[in-house]
Formats: sequence, C-alpha cells, structure tokens
Amino acid sequence: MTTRSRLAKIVAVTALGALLLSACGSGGDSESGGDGKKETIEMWFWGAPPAHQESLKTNLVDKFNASQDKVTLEVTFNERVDSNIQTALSANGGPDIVYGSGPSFVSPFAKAGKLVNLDEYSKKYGWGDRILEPIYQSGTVDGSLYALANSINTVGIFYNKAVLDELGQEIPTTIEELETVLTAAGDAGLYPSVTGNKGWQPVNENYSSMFLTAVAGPDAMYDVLNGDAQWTDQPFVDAVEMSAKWYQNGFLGGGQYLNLNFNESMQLLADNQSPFFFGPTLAFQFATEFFNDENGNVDDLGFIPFPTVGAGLEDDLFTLATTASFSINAASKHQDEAAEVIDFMMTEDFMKIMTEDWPGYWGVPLKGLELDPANFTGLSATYADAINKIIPAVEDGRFGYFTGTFFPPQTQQELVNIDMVWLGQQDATSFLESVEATFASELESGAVPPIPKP
Amino acid sequence: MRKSREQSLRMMPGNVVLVVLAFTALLPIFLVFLNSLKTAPEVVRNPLAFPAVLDWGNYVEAWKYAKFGTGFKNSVLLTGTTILVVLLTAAPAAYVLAERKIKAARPVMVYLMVAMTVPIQLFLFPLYAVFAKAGLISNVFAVGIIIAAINLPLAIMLLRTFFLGIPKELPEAATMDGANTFQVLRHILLPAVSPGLITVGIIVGLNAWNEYLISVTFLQSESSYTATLGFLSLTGTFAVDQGVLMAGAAILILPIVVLFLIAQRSFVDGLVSGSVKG
Repeated sequence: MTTRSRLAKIVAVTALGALLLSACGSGGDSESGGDGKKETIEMWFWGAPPAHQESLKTNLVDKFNASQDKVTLEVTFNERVDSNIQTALSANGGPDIVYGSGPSFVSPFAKAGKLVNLDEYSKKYGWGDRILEPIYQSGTVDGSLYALANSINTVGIFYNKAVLDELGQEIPTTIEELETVLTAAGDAGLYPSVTGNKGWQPVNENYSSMFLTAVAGPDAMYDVLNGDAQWTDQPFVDAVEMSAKWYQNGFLGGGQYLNLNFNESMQLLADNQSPFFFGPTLAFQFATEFFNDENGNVDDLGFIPFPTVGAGLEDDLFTLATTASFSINAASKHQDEAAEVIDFMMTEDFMKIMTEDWPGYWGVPLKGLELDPANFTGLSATYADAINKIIPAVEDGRFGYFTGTFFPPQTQQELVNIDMVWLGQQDATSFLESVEATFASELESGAVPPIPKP
Repeated sequence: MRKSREQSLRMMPGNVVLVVLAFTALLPIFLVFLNSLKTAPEVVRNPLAFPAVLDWGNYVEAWKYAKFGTGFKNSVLLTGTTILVVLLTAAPAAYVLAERKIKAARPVMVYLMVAMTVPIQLFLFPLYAVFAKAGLISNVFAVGIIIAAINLPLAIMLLRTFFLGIPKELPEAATMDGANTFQVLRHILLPAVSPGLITVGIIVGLNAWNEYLISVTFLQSESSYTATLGFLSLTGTFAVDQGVLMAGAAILILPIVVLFLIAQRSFVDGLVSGSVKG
C-alpha cells in the first residue's frame, strides 16, 4: 500500500467517523439548545454527576424557564469553573450569573468593577431580611453586597450509630468522650475515624478550620482575622499541636489519612469499619450512595458538631463555611433576570426541593429556618436535622471561620500546609510564624474579606 | 528442530518483557471497562473486583449526561480543523525554510524554536479577551485554529526535515520543464513528503483530540463541548459517580482504539518515519 493510499484511508475513516458521530450528535444538540426566540442567560456550574445535573435542571432551569417569556436560563457544568470564570471576567466576558468560591474570590473582582453591586436588588428582594447576617456580610465588599452564598456548610462529625452500639459507646458530646470512643475503636481494630486527603491536599483546610474553631474559638479567630491578635498566640499553637497529636496517634484517619479520600472514607463508615468520619456537611451529597434504603442503613448515620476544647468556649460551635457564591457579571446584558435567578435560589421552597434531591449542597442560609425532617426521606432528613442545628448556632454567634471561605488566599494556602506539622517537618510555632507573616502582608494589602462578628 | 528451540529460548526474555509491557498497557483499559459495569459503591469498595451484576445503565447515563453525541462531533470538527490548518500552512512554510527561499530563514527557525518553548498559559488571557471581543468563544473551528497555531512550530520543523531529504534535482527538473513554484510543490514535493504529512497529521491530530486547557477555556457552552469536556462535566466537587465516570471513560477511549486498529500500520509507519527523520 502506498503512502498516498494510506493517507486517503485515514482521511476516509476519519470522515466516516465524523459523519456517524454527527448523526449521533444531532440528538444532543436538541437537548442542550435553548429556545431560539428567547435570549439566553448563562450560569456556569461545577461538574456534577448525572443525578445532580438532573436535579438542578428540573428544580432550577425548568422551573425558572417556565416562569419566563423573555429569557432562557442555561446551566453549563464544567469542572474548571473557578479558573474559567476568572479568565472570562478578566476579559470582560463570562456568564451572566457568576459562580464563585466565596468571599476571597468575590472581593478582588468586585473591586475591579467586574461584578454588579447588588444593594438595589437586595432592597428589591429583601435579601438582607432573609439571609443569615454573617453569611450576608461575607458577601459584602466595602459595605456593599456583591455575592450571596448558596449554602451554609460546616465541618463536623458523621457518626455510625451501629458501630457505636457495637463498641458499647454513646454519641459523644465532649472532647473526653470523643477521645474515649476513638481509643475504643482503635483497640477494637477499627479505624478511630476515617478521613483523608488522597488526591487533593486542600482537604486539610477542613481540619485546620475544625481545630482552630474548637480549640482557639470564635473570638480569638475574629481578633486574629482583624489583625488584633497574632497567629503565634497560644490558642492557635494549641490548636495546631492538637491536630498534629491527633494525626500522629491515628485519631485522624487511622494512620491512613494520606491513603483515603472522602468517597472511600464514607464507604468505610458505611461498612462499619469506623465509628466516625470527620468532614464537611457537603459530604451528605455523596453519603447517599452508601447510606440508603437499599442498604438499610439510613438511620445509622448522624451528624454532630466537633466538641469544643478551649477553656470557656460554648458548646455546639460550628465552623462557618459556604459552598459557593452567586454574583452578577457587570458585563451581563440581563442583570435583572440574573438577580431573579439568584432570588429564586435563595428561597425556602428551593432549598427544600434541592435538599430532597441533593442533600448537602443547598443549605440556603435563611434566617429562622427550621425544617421538619419528617418531610424528607433518606439522608435528606438527617441533613435537615443538621441544618436545624447549624442555623440557630450561626444566629447565636456560635461559629468559627472556615479557612476556604473567610481567609485571604495565601493564608488559606499556608493553612493547607498544616500537614507539615503533622508529619513532623515543622513545629507548630514556626508554622504559625509563617502564617503570621503571610497574613500580615495580606491584611495590609486589603485581601482579607469581611469577617462577620460572632 | 534444535535450532528452532534455541531460537525460542533466545527470544524468550524479549517476549517476557513484551508480555509485561502489554499487560501494563492493557490493564488500566481493562479496569476502566470492568468498573464501568459496577455501581459507584462497588467501584469505591474494590476497584479490582468483578461486578456483582453487570450494570450497563452506566453507559446510558454517561452518554446522555456527558452529551457524547455532540461531544464526538465537536471533537472531530476541532481535530479536523486543526489538522487541515496545520497541513495547509506548515507544508509551504517548511518548504520555504528548507529551500531557504527567504533571507530570514534562520531567524524564523530560531523564532519557531523559541515559540515551542513558550507555555500557552502566557497567551491564555489576552487570547481569551480577543476571542471574546470577536464573539468566537464556544466556536469549535476558532479553537481548532488556536490549537493549530500552537502545533505549527513543531509541524514546520518536522516537515522541513522531510523536505531536506528530497534530492535537489527533483524540483529543478520540474522547473526546467516549465512548472511554477506552486506546481512543483503540489505535484512533485508534497507527494514526496507524504509520509511526513501523515506523521504530522497523526501527531497534531492526537494532540488536538486530547487537548484540554484551550478547549476547556474557550468552549463554554455545552453545545460546543468536545467529548473530553463532556466527560469531565461528570466530575463534581466531591460527589462523583465512579461507575458512570468509568463508563464515560470507556466511551471516550473507544473511537481512538477503533481508529488505531483500522489504521495501525499508518500510525506506526508515520510515527517511526517521523522519529527517524526528526
């Protein structure tokens, strides 16, 4: 066979493939396309598994579009949404509704005029009256609203009641009780707890936030984030040292922290290999795969806050975090409609239907919200119960700060490196000296987002 | 008989190495297919175990939610655009540089070599701004041109070596017979460098098919997603259905495997001749 005929063969095969695939592709187009007569407003979202994509389509896209005769909402799922939005905003492009990763993300774009000031929309829709004050404040820049968080999130303890029963232990309410159960589980050949950062080191931020909240407490964190205290102060040293001790004695991941990811951890919890999984309430969204009616173990899973450790701290402290935030692109031609979409998502009705389909990601931060777990099925009821504990705690000021939500970016990254202390490569004091230096520089440059007072 | 046995013994170490290499190459693909038939908890529990029940539904979900129908069409259009643009522009450029038809041939060569070393991230933002202004975001053909531009320096350098291998007498004879430059290129030189064109086509085609960074940045509407982007849209923050994800990976792999099996001689010949010439 000559090279020319080989070339022709490759071209022919490729062309045939293109033809066949084009035929297959026509169906996909009609599914994803918008209405030709209406203008499209875009929202870019994280990648999501099919069930979650379907849930957002049914409960947001279809319902919103049914209420409209001028625009069509189109949601695009993309696993690089964070960096894509940053590139697009910088180039005065991008979607109408800006999906962001929280206050640290919002502040620089708001200051650069890339996001719409939402104060007028806030008045129009009454967001200030509806949204939890600390969460509302976290979306402000220089006193004006630029973003609303879609969901409240906290780091705490998922427990398996069946394992606790097997160990002859109660659900712990104090740090001493928790340590007793962890030790008992280890002695019984189980993982004291399951969790880990396999494949994604930033998972560490869950634990740096959790220990800072439980050991140093809200007021100390508030002070340090406002520059009124030093990161090298004793409460923070104690928090880092305690996390290192827990890592080293196996309480945190049972010696397998580096070999476990969230999915594997939840699987082990469901397989009764551990009494506890330390993680964010976000984890409810995949816990449903392991705790469900089919497996008959829904009632085994529960969620409690991490007990307080520091002297004089109130009980039931929660690490305050948000999963994502929504803003409006200053370059959008459909700002009013984009605000309407955001308002649609900031309602109790939306929260309820999303929680039923997709628990863990749509804890809309509404004031005075109290869900009736009886109105939910499966783990959605457990999640509703967790939300019922978190919202009053936030209203009472019983919250610390999640690094990924409230810390400026470089300080946040510094705290992700807390595993250097855990692995014995650095001591807590020198680690915090480095955090202090980074934070001081970010505080001076105005990179610290607004910190709501506890 | 004895000679044949000795020969077999002599070849055994080589064969063992080949079997090991084949095993390590095929095992991941096998695991993808194996896990694509399992439920998500089954995959997480033990990725090496066989499925309790074959769950073909993962393929249906992956095809539907990753929108592979549209994705493959766009991947083919993007790859085709890239190959076409590269071959149409790299071949004449390589000829000009090989024959030193311009005075600045050497500086141009240096420029091309430098261009190959510059990371694309440097151009990403300004390029996005220009494309956004021109309304070319989510345009598969426009992205094909960007990827072609990225691949052009390598393609030109590679094709130049093929042009250098052609005896000078060949184009000279054609010129003496009255052929103009275009005719010499079209009827004499391009057929002579067709192995090079295949090599470049394959390399650039694979690069374009597998390209991620440019596609994910510039292709924003789902109707413009390539198969790779559609596949990655199934990946959530923490929530991932591993069974569906593996089915998506299997669907993504299949066309390349089929294409390779159909045209494997051309692939191997092209890459081998490219490696010798290059």
